Amino acid sequence: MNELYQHRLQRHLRQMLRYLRLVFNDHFVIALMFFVGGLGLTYSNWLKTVGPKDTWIIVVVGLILWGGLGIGRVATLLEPADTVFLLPREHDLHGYLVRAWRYSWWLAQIVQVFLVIVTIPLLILVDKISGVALLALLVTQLALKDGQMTLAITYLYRLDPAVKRWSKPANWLVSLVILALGLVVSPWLSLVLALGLAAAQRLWHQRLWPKSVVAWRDDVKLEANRMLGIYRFFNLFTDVPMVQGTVKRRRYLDWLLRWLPKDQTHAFGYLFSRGMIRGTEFSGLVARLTVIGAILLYFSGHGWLAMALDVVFIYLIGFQLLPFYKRYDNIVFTHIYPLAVKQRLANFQRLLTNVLSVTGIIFLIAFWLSNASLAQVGILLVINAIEIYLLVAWYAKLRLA
Amino acid sequence: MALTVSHLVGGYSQIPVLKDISFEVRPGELVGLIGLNGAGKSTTINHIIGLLTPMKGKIALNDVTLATDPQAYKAQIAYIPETPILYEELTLKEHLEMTMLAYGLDQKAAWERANDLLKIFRLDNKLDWFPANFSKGMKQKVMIVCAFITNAKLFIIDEPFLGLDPLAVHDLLHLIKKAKENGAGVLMSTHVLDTAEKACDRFVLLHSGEVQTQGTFAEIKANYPDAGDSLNDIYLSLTGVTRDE
Repeated sequence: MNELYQHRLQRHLRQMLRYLRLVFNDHFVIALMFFVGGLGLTYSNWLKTVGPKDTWIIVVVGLILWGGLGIGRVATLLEPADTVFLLPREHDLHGYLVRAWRYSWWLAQIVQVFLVIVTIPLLILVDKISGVALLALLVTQLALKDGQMTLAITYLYRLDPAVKRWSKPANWLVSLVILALGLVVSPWLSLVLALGLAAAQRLWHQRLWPKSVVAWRDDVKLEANRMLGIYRFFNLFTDVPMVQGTVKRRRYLDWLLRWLPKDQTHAFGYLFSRGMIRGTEFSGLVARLTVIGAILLYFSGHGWLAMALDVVFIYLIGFQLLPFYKRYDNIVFTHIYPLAVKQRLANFQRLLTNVLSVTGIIFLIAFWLSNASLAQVGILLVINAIEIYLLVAWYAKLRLA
Repeated sequence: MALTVSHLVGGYSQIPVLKDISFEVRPGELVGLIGLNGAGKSTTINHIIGLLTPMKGKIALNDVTLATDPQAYKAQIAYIPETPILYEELTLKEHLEMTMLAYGLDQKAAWERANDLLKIFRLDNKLDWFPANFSKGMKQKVMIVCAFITNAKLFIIDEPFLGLDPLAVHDLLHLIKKAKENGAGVLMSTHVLDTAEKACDRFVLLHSGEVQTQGTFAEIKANYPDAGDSLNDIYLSLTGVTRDE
């Protein structure tokens, strides 16, 4: 079991590394350096204005440390198939989970150390806190995170529902109280209490797990959700195959569908329009790019730059929607319906026109709100119309037919 | 003549899975397509519904082939896949509507049929749900309803009996009977041989991509008098797989 976690961790890290390389490409690293540099500069400038009278800052520091405890979860790396294949070795799973705990522990504690370091200047400026006291506070924070991680491992077992309901909120509440005592009364007090809490949670875990069964399904779901969060992040930068959109009913948009024709020549349109509205993958893409584009358009004046942005964003949206044409290719019925491929393409072009027209109108409004003259809005309207026509009638056909 | 498959050679890649297959399904007839896993049942079905193109031979449906008039050919077929296939973004009602639109059915008449079928399969209170979240049996019932609201001349049903409850199996057999009475032909692949023995009018036994034998149960039994009394026994001895008792 120990090798199993080691093996999975290696695979996991390799995969993460591959994505991180894609995320932190040259351009992004440069942008990030500027961003972090700017942030640091702002922070250090702001620190110059902070003095002992700003006691409210201690409350903010407390909340930051408290909220920061939420960063870092246990990477169990469990897979759906484990519910079948590892079930016979349920008792040994504890060793596996301890491994998972250890790996995640280090990762989480590094973040906690960083968090405390960021708040140190504030504590020194406002509270005139000593170096040893700071160390006590740091250990308090680490011990609180330790307790939380132990609780996370305990949660992987099937607990009494009542215990499960109150233990997590209780842990958060006690953590808050301990941090408050540490910042207001004495870091040494909080240190003792936090270590006590961490020890108590370990003891509880040791007592509990041999008598409990693993909550397989919940654990697998939890891990899948954790990974989905990571993949979602990567998906902002690159295509991640594991991120499949979900489906939402979105009844409030049904009125849009009522406008569309319903007959045999528009059968694919019936499918495409519903898929576009209810699937989160493509509709999210359109919504994100439209909002970002509109904001950029609004802030970039009403000159050529704005017009260029408008053209680029409409092209980007149209271009990224093209794969939606093949969204239903794996559904056998779309191949055996007595419908011509020509109709299918025509229906898709119609959908593309509708979506891009809505985006174009929103862009025009943003452009107009940025104090563009009506003549300029008129010019952009013509540009949009020509671009959408070319995209739909020429480019989409070229790529898809 | 509803469906005529003549000298079909075909498969997924260069290597043919089907080697010179010929059989037919007449109007008002239920033909059972029987064979082991990998015998070529699904490949045959994929050829008939037009997912695969024959390397040699011909498939005609009332004298129309896929090559001459694809739309007229496809309009005559209704297909129920072995594993239910559903659109994630469509509700049950919209699945039915989509089928009606795609086959150009008269909405009013089709909804009358649909409502009857929904009641039979106890789906009538789930019209606004996403069937993608249904259980396997219920998904399969959605597939059945979608297929039987069409005016198809040929129904192709791939292993319908696994996953359906006994009541639904009974109802499906009744629907098939009614479709036959309306002059439709039905081709059904299955492993549930005792149900097939009772329900099917004729059988096509596939083995290693070839038609081993075909005909009514009585004909097959007369051809192989020593093979046993039930379709099960005959089939086991015909596959030539000997095993210890």
